[in-house]
Formats: sequence, structure tokens, C-alpha cells
Amino acid sequence: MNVARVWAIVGKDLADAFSSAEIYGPMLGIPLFFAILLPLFTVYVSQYAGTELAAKLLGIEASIIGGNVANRLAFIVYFSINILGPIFLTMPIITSSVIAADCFVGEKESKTAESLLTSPITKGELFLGKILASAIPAFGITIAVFLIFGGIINYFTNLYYHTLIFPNTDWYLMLADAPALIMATIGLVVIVSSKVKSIKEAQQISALIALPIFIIPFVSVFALVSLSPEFFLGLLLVLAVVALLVIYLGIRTFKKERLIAA
Amino acid sequence: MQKVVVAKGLTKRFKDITAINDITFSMEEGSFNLLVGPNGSGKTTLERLIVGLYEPTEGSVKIFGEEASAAPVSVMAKVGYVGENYGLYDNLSVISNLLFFSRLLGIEKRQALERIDKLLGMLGAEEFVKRKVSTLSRGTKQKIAVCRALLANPRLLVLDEPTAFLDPESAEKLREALAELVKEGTTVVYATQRLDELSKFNADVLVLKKGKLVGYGDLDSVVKMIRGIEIEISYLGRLSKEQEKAMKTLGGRLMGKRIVFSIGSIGKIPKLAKEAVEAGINITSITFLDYNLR
Repeated sequence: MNVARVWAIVGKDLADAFSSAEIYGPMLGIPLFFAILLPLFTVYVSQYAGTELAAKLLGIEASIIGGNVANRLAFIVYFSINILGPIFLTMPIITSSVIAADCFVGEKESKTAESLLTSPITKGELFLGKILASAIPAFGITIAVFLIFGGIINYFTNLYYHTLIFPNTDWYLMLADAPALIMATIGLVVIVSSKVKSIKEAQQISALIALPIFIIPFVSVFALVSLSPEFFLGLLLVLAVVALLVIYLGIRTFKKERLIAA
Repeated sequence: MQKVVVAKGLTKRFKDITAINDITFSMEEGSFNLLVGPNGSGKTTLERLIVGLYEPTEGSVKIFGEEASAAPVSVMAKVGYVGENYGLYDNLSVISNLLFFSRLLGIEKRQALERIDKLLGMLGAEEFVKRKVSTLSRGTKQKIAVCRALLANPRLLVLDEPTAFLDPESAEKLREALAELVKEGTTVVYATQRLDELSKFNADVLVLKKGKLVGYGDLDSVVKMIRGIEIEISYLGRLSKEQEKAMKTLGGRLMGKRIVFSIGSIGKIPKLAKEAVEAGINITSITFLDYNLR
């Protein structure tokens, strides 16, 4: 595998995507909007936290650390880690799927597939380049969103309760899962993009692919699975296997002819 | 002489349409090969088979001894291709496009910049180097696409109607550059439906009709084979009453901005063209519509 050719694809796709505000606008704007809005909402809602919340969620007797302050903090900790954390993990995937969905079928629609596919590049290099071109912004946005969200939460918890919630072990574990989750999801979307006839079709199917990821926050809400370190470690292993399998299948099943209009 | 392209029993079907039907031919190193035929005759499909974009349904096509559709990177590095589309990224500048393809070819940036400068200069497109591709005219895009195909000094250059949108001066420059490449040993495959281009090359001609190779040989022998030709003369501006009358007298049928003639042999084309020019018609191209073979 020639790394220079892979990076040439990545560089070209990123330059192409970031030359159009229609693509990078929603990709950056939506996660950043929620990264700012949701912590403010969390802090605001926390003042209405129930009196028994600390005991229920964290197993702490509220009276030990100051009554309602404990309840509010318990709400912020639980809500931001167990519910918003997984949501933020999925958001960059959804938005960067715009690039992934476009990556092959976009070459077909803009009639650049012919020149790209007659260039000296292997299927593996091309496929990996396309995945990385979507995965790199997705991972960059994930980290940015976590930092902004965590920063705002920390600011308010420090201001009102003189304590910092982040960094937190669960968040580190979530971030550790992020690359495998992003590679697996985007890999699937890239496969879709290499097989459909239009960008619209690719976007519709990729939205369906990304949908199951939303299960994670709901699973957490209904406490079906505890978001423990073991859960994240298991998830990491599963996602890593899925990502490798997806990349392998994508390369094996890729056919130049599908991208060339007859 | 090495055989650069070898096709044997080559057939390509799309569902129930046979686009290329049992074609066998070979192209030698340093040869100029014209693919001619009307629209829908299979020129583009054949070129796409040669550069490996399509897999044959039956038979095979090899380039440099390798199956074209599975050719390794080392073989594809020797191939330049300009398809019926320009193959350029509209949102990127000319230089970004050309540097991207240089990187795929493994050309170092400094060397690539020198090469790009030389190629753009050769085709008179150096002033567009920083322009976004989407802002360029079709003719300029075509020049840039040709530059892209020439970046790696290809040993096999496959072109699909590369002068379709070029002005006559640029088209001539391109033909000169191609002739030079052939002298240096490059094999050129050049698809056209423009009859006025036939005489401008010293080429082997492959005549296609409905996916079949119906004529194959040097220009003179192929020209003698073609009979019952229908051609179309395209022109600029509007025809005056006198010009319309002159064309109708010659047997022409006026169809929008085109005049269609049914003629007995290809040898009559220069006379027709001469009469049209003398009548003051500004001809832009003379194109095959249909023909029969003797």
C-alpha cells in the first residue's frame, strides 16, 4: 500500500468538501450548536433536580454533601455522561456521513470517476483514502465537541458548586471507542456510496445505517446496559472487528464499472 | 515492435444491448490509431475497455501484456486517458487538480510544477492555472484534461474526441503534440466522429458500426471501403437565402444549425466543404452520421 497515494485522496476529498459551505456548514455547525446549547440546557434544568436524585443515580446521601447541591450535581453528572456523551459520539458520524455518502457516487455524478479510476491507484488505497477523508473530520469534530461541551459544563459546575466534572474516565473510554465506531459506520456508508446510482440514494441509505447508533443513549436511559468500562471495552472490540470486516468487504466488492455511467 | 493493446473476441454487453461485438485487433508501440464511427457505434465503450474501466463480457483486452480491467498500478502509470467528460474537480483550481493527479502518479511536487507549466504552455492554457475549474469554458477544460492525461509521459494515450470543444488553433497544437508523442514511441488511440480529422493524421483506422469493427487498416484502404455516407456539416451564424439555396442544390438537408448530406463516397467531402466555404458558410465541423461499407 502506497501511503502517499492514500493521503493524496484524503487531501483532495477534504479540499473538495471544504470548498463548499453547503457541505462543511452543517457538518461543523450542527455539532457545535448542540455542543454549546446542550450544556447550558443541562445546567439550567439541573436546578429542578428531584430531591432524591443523588441517592437514586449516584448512591450518595444528599444530606452528606449539602442537600440540593448534590441532587443538582448528580443530575449534571448523570445527564452529561450517560446521555449526552453517547449522543455527541454519534453526531459527528451523522454529519460526516455527508462526505462519506458523496465520496464515490459523487465522483460518478460529477463525472470525475473516469479520470480517478484510470489513475495508478489500487482499490485498497482508493477505499482507505475515501474512508479517512470522512473519518478524520468526524474524529476532529468529536474531540472538539467533547472539549467544548466539557469546558462549558466545567465552567458552570465550578462557578456554582466549586467542582469539576471533566475529565472523566467514562468520557475517555467513549473517546477511545470513537475511531472504531467512526471507521465502521463510515466504511459502511462508503460501501453504499460505491454501489448506488445517486447521492440522494446514498444519503438516504446512510441515514438508515447510522440510525442504530442512536440506540446507545436510549439503552443508557433505560438502564438496560450500564455504561461501565467493561461495556466500552467490549464495544471497542466489536467495533474494531466490524470496521476491519467492512473495509475488507468494501475493497473486495468494489467494481470500477459501477461508477461509470453506461 | 511491441504490441501495446491486444483485443481478442472482445465483447461488451449492457443487459440486452451489445455495445461491442466480438472485436479483434492489436495496436503497436508508437502507432496512431483512429477510432471512427457515428454516435452509438461503440467508440467510447471500446476506449473504456482499453483503459480497464469496463470488464469484457466475453473475450479479452490486454494492455502491456496485462488484462486491462485488472492492470496493476505499474501498468496504469503508463496510461493517459481523456474520456468524453473532462474528469476534473469543479470546486478545485486547475493547479490543485493537476497536482492531485501528479501525486497519484508519484511525481514530486517541484517536478510536477515544471511539467504542468510546460504542458499548459504547450496548449496555451497557462493563464488559467489558478482559476477554479467550474469557471472555465468547455474548451479550456478540455485543454486541462489533456494536460492531466499527459502528466506522466504516458506510453499509451487514449483520447475520446479531444478536440470537440477546442478552437482550430488549439486543436492543431494538440494534433502536433500528439504526432510528436507518437514519434517518441507513445501509442495513441483517438476516437472521433469528425471526418475532417481523418486526413490530419497518419494513422491506422478502426471503423466501428453498431459495436462491430467493420473496417480496419491504413487510412487510404479504409476510405476506399466507405460508401453511402451520411454526413453533417455544422456551421456558425445563420445561413442567408442564397446559402440555403446553394446547399439545397448540392443535395443538403437543412436541420437547425446543421446541413445533412447523403454522399456516395468519402472522396466527395472535400468538394462539398469547398463549395460550402465558397458560399461563405463558416464551417465548424464535418461529422459522420451513418455509412455503409463496400
